[in-house]
Amino acid sequence: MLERSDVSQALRILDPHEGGTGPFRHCTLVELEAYHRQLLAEEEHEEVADHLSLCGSCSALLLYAVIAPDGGEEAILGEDAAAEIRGAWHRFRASLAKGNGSPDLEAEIDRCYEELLDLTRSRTPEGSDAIDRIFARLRTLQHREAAGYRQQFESNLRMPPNAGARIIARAGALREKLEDLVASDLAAQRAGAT
Amino acid sequence: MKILSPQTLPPKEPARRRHRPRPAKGWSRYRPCLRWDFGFTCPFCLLHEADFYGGQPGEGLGGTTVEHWIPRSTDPEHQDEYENCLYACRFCNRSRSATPLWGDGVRLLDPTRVAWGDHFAAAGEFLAPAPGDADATYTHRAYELDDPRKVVRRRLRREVVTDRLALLQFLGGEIEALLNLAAVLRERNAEAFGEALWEIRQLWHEARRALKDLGRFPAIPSDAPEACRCPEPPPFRLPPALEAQTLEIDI
Repeated sequence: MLERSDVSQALRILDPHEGGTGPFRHCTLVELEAYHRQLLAEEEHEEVADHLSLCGSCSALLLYAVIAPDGGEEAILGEDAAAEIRGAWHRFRASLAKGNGSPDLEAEIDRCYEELLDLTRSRTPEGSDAIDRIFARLRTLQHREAAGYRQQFESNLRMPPNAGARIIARAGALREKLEDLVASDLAAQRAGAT
Repeated sequence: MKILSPQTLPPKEPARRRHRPRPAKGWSRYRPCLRWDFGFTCPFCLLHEADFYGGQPGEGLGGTTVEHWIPRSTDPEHQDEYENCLYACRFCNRSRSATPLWGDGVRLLDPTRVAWGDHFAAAGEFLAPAPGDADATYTHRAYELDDPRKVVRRRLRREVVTDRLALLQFLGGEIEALLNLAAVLRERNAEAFGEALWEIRQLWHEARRALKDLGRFPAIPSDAPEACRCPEPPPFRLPPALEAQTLEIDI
C-alpha cells in the first residue's frame, strides 16, 4: 500500500526540476493524473508518454498512485494486473531503499543516442572516434538492460522458463517407476500362484 | 484464447491498412486504428505488445509508439496524416530517429509497401537481411533490428512458449497413462498406489501453473480497443498474415 513516507521520498527523487529537461524531466503527480484522464494538450501528452517510455519510476507511480490509488486495483484491473502493479511498486520501493534511486539505464541509453545524433550531424573528423566509443557504450548498456529484463521476466513467470521440460522428465521417470512396480507385482503374483 | 507463436516470422505480404480514420490533429489519436492495423506488433522488429507488457494492459506506458515514415523533423506537414504513421516499438522508433528514407543508393524499406518476408528471414532470435539486399541491410541498421533488448525478448518468448506448448501436448495423454498404471497397483499395492496418486497430483498442479504462463503472450491484448476514429470501422481483427501465426489454446 502507498505510504506517506514512500510518497515523500518518491516526490523528492522524482522532483520534476531534478531530472533535466524534455523527456528526462520527471512528471508531477498532477501531470500523471491529467495524462491518465487524457486532459493534457497533445504535445504535453506526447511529452509525458515519451518520459514514461524512459522512466520506470514514473511508470510505477502512474500505475500505483494514479490508476489504482485506493487499494481497489483488483476491482479496476483484475487480480493479475493488480499483482503486476504491486510488483512494479515493490521494485520502485526497492530502488528508493538504495538511497537515491537506481541509475536510469534507459535514460542513459537515450543520451547515447542523442550524442550519436549530434556527432553524426556535425561530421567532424575527430567525431568518428567518438562515435565508435559511444556506440560501444550504447551496446554495453543495451546488453545490460536486456539482462535486467530477462531477470525481471523470469521472476514474473509462475514457473521457470524450462518448467515444462522438467515436468515432462519427472513424468517420464514416474512412469518408468510405476511400470517397474506393476511388472514386479505381476511377477510376485505369478510366483505365488505356482 | 489466441496466443502468439514462439516466433513471429516475417510476413509474406505487406502490412495492409484496413482502417481509414477521420483526420485528427495529433497523431496519437490514431493509436487504436494503428494497433489493429499492425496487429499490436512492431512491423519492423516484429516484437508484439506482449513482449513488452507480459500480457498486462500496457497502453499509455510508452512501450509502443507512432512512427512517422517521413520524420516530423524533416517535414512536419505530414505528421498528422494516417498514411504517414506506422505502429512501432519504442526501440525501433528511437533507433531510426530521423534516418533519411534514402541513403547512398539505398532506401529504407516500408513494411506497408513491401513484404518483410521478402527482405528478412528469421534466424534464431535474429532477423537476417536477405543476402545481397542492400535496402534490407540499410533498414536493419537504421532500426537496429537485432538490438540486444529485442533479441532477449524474442528469445524469452521462444523459450517459454515452446516449453509450455510441448508440455500442453504431452500432458493429457501422459497423465492418463500414469493414472492407468496407478489403477493397476490399486488392489495389489495400496501404499504404492497412494504414493503414485500423490506424485501424479503434484505433477498435474505444477503443469497447470506452468501452462498459465502462456497467458503472458496473448495475440490480442486485454486492452485492445473496441472503438476507433474510423467512421465505419472494419472488423476488429488481426491482419491475416499475423492471425495465421497465432495458436488457439485452452488453458
